Amino acid sequence: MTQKTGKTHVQRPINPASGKQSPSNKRLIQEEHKKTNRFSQLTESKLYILLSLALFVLFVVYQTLVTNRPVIWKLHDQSLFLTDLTYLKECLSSVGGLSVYIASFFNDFFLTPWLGTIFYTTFLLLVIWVTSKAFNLKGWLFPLALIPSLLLLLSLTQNGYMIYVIKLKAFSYVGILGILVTLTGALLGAKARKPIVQSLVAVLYMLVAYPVAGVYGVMGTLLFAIFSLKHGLREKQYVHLIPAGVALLALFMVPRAYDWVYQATLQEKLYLANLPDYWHTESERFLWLPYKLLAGCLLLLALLPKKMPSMNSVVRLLPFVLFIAVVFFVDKKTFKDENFKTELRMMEASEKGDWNQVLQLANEVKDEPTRLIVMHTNLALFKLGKLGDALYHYRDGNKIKKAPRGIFDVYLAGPFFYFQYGKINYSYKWCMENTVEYGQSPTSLNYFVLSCAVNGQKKLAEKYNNILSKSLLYRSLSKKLAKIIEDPTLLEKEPAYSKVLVLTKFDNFLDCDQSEMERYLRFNFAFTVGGPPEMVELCLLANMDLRNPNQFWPAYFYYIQNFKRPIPIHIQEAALLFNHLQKTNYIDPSRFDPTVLKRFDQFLAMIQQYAGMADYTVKDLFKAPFGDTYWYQFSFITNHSNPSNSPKYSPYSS
Amino acid sequence: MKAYLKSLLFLGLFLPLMACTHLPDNYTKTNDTLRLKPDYSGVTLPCNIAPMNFDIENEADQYITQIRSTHGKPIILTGKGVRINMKKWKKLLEANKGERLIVEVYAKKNGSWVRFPLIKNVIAPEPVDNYVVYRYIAPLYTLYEGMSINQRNLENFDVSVLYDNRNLSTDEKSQCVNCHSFQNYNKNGSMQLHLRGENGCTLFVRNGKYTKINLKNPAFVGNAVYPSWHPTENVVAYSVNVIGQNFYTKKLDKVEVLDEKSDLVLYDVDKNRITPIEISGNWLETFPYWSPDGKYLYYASAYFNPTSANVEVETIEKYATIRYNLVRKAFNTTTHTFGQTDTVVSASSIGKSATFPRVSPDGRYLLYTMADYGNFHIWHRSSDLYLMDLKTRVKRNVEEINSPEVESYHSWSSNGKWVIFSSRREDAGYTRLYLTYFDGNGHFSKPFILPQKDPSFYERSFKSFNVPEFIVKPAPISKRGILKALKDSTRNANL
Repeated sequence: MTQKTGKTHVQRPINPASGKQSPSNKRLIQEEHKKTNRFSQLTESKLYILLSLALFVLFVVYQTLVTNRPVIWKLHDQSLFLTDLTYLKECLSSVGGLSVYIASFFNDFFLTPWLGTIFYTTFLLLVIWVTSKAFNLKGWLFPLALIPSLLLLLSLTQNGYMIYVIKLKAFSYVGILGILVTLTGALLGAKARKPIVQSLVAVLYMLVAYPVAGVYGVMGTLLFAIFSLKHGLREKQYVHLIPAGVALLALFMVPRAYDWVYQATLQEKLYLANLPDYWHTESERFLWLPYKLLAGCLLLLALLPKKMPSMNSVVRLLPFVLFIAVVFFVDKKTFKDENFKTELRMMEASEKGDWNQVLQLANEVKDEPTRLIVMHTNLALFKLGKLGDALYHYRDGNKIKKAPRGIFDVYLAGPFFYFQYGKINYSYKWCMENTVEYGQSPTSLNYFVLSCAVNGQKKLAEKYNNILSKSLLYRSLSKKLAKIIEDPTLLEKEPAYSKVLVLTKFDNFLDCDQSEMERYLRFNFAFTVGGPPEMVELCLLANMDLRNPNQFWPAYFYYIQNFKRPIPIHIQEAALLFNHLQKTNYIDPSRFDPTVLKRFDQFLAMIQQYAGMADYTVKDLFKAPFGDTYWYQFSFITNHSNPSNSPKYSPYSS
Repeated sequence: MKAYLKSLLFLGLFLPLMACTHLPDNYTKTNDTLRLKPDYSGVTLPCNIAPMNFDIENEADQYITQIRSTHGKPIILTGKGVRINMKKWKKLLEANKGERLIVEVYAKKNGSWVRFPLIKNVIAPEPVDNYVVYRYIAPLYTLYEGMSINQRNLENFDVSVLYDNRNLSTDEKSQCVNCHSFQNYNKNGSMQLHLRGENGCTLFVRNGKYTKINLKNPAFVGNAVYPSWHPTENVVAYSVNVIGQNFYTKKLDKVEVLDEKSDLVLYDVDKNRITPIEISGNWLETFPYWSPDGKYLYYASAYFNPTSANVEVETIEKYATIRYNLVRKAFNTTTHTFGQTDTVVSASSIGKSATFPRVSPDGRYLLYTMADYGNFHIWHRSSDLYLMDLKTRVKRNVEEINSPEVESYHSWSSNGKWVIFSSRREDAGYTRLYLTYFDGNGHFSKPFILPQKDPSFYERSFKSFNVPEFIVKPAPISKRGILKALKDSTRNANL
């Protein structure tokens, strides 16, 4: 069967007597011929191409906007495009810089996920088109052109938590732009030219492609060499092999030559610039898979003959089958973790000051929550004034992050949480750490500006805000921040930043968080002395979490003596429990909620009832009646932020 | 027709050029303050400095700036951004050493021209050293990421990156580069550089040859840190420190770098031998620096006698009480031995702490920093520059160059007429370099920020200029040289 016409030559059975074909066989053969022809026509038709493309687009939208919207949203924070010349110069000072520059422009649009997805999908479609042109993938071969784009999609969707730590800015687009550069090399190599001209084109291509796209330029030159080689072998003239040799020489020499020009090229990645900086460890090896498969795929496509021989219908179906198989493969390898998405959704809601939304998301968590989810929940409760009354109504947990390397929470959300809890200097510090390590981002700049504004460092705040004013999509944020710089008290009117200033009223001292954000906050608040009611409440709750009655009582007395407000429920619970365990007489029951007192009596009665039994056997029995109390937390729940801190007092010791 | 077109072409090409060279004939003088960014008014500038480009911040519709002096053709420019032609600038300065440099700014608003009060600067006859080498690094961070040793030609805007740690540093194998130190302004092409972490060592460069040395020895409390190469002998004094870094919860200083332990050692480059200078458990010695004649080693010394087993915690608890004095030890350049120790600045007796002793090339003056406590003064807003006349031992706060923000690390030029120092006065966050003229009699001129081709450079720069050192000729290191040297085997310094 030829590619063009789809005609099939079918062997017709002959009647041994007459030497002619029987009529029924003839009809079968004709029908067979019609079916094959129809199938061939289908695989050659535009409908086939459109169907493949439609499936592709639906899959991309499914993998991005439908199932990974919060992840797509977070990508906007991975880089920041600036409209001034300085940013362009900064990008161009590294190999592959122009790709990064253009990529960061489009990456910004992920701030609005649906718009970012449209741009992203369009670029993937562009890759498909160029791939089909570069490797002559027409008709039944067309689905093969979709595979590189699918692998590029996987290079995005496989990451999960890694999006926080990949240092390659706007990596989601760098790969796409890079592949386009690679395919340009293939297109140039496929064109028949005089050997000397072809050699010159090879060198010029590498000279341009390498500084523009790094490793993708190297790959493009390799494809160029392959195509030139194929052409030479086809022509059966050795002179036509020269361009291939020149291309390979350029591939090797050009990066080394550019190393004299660029001051900061990571030596071990001279030929691999513009790939993400995944580690080469057992746990991160899988992250390299899309890139390896992409390289392999392009090399195999380059080795396809220029004119495919005629194939039967089974073979003609293979590209489509392969396409579907890769779709399933990509879906299987895509990072799936609801906790991760919940964290991102919570962050998005928090940044808008929609604390009720955060609590709703907390209620929807089915699996054990991560510490970040718990921290987001607690913060939302604090903002809504419900922390002391409803903290233990929400699930606690310590689900390990599904990340291939250890990633401290402080890198994920340090500037945010430290700022929210009034630790302004620490918010600034972690903005600096993240900026130095990962480059400028809208989030870091936002907290840079806010930290400096609260600290009264106006000029410094303006320096950071000036960068936001040069961005594409954050100018309105910059204008809002400019007002806060002039008057930091305006923060109190922002739902996202209420109750921050009140938490900044503490004395200065010297310490270090050891990159353990939650633990630091807990200990920091636990040892606070005095302050406004919000701070004292946090102090009490921190000491409750630390099971530290010695530090609890001074804060408790301070609270009841200085603030004419109801004692939060959980604090009443803790006071009752500590009072009981320490056999002291510190509390005045008249200030306590009668329901709490009654429940405590019931709790003690239940303790007596099951005295002597192991914790794990009675834990579930206590959960239903007391799972939402501090008593249950104290007795049965590990202090996740400080697991070595076991209860000093056991309820069973009494 | 042809002639008509030719005239039009002439007018089109040359008329604009002709139009911008005239000062306004009619203008009024205004008393409004002329705001320049950077502020290059009332300064004394070196006769070989790069053009001091600036932006005019006053709002107007048009601007004309004239820069003139006693001799030579004035430079006339238009526009809010004043970008001075290098050749014209050089010519003007060369012809007017010791003369005044007048900057006239005219602005047109609402159809009429005004002239601001004249800016009067002085062109010093003494040149500044051709180069300054500094580390370009982001402030306040604990990770090794994106830092470089840069060399700036002060006569133009050329910046050479001598080494960027991103050549080798990765997450898994990170590398820090620091403490560049030259012998006698690099007159002999000798320098040293520390690398920490991946490929950690001290690189010595002499006569184009790189040597990779490990200065760490278990006999000392820590690795060799702050260096000072003797001006004439091939010996380098180092402090060996155990350094910790902590953070203020509220104070704007943000970071406190503390030494739990520190001592002084001497490394003989020729013999590859390291010997102790000052080892004591109760004293913290750091930041050594040789006098220009090599006869004294100056350093900072603080009494600290920890009483608990956890020295680190005790250091943090007592950080505000650790105060350094400046002392000096006599040095015999023949035998390479040390003599008596004298206290030069008793800062602790007045509740202060002094570091970074730098003696002027003529040996007359000692310039140092002083703050409320501690030694890492770049993080102390209370840090200012002080000057002591070593003859009279009279010392003073050099108010004319200090600011409410931190002033710290400073270097004398080889002719003793210029000082370059670090300051965070621009925005309280990022360290910039300032130049000031020294009259030789104990007084400095108004400092000015290191000129940049684009004055808005500092707004977009998010790194600090760290440890500026003058040198008279280009640094003897390069990226290729360092990368090659790092592949060599490391020699251990002998005790």
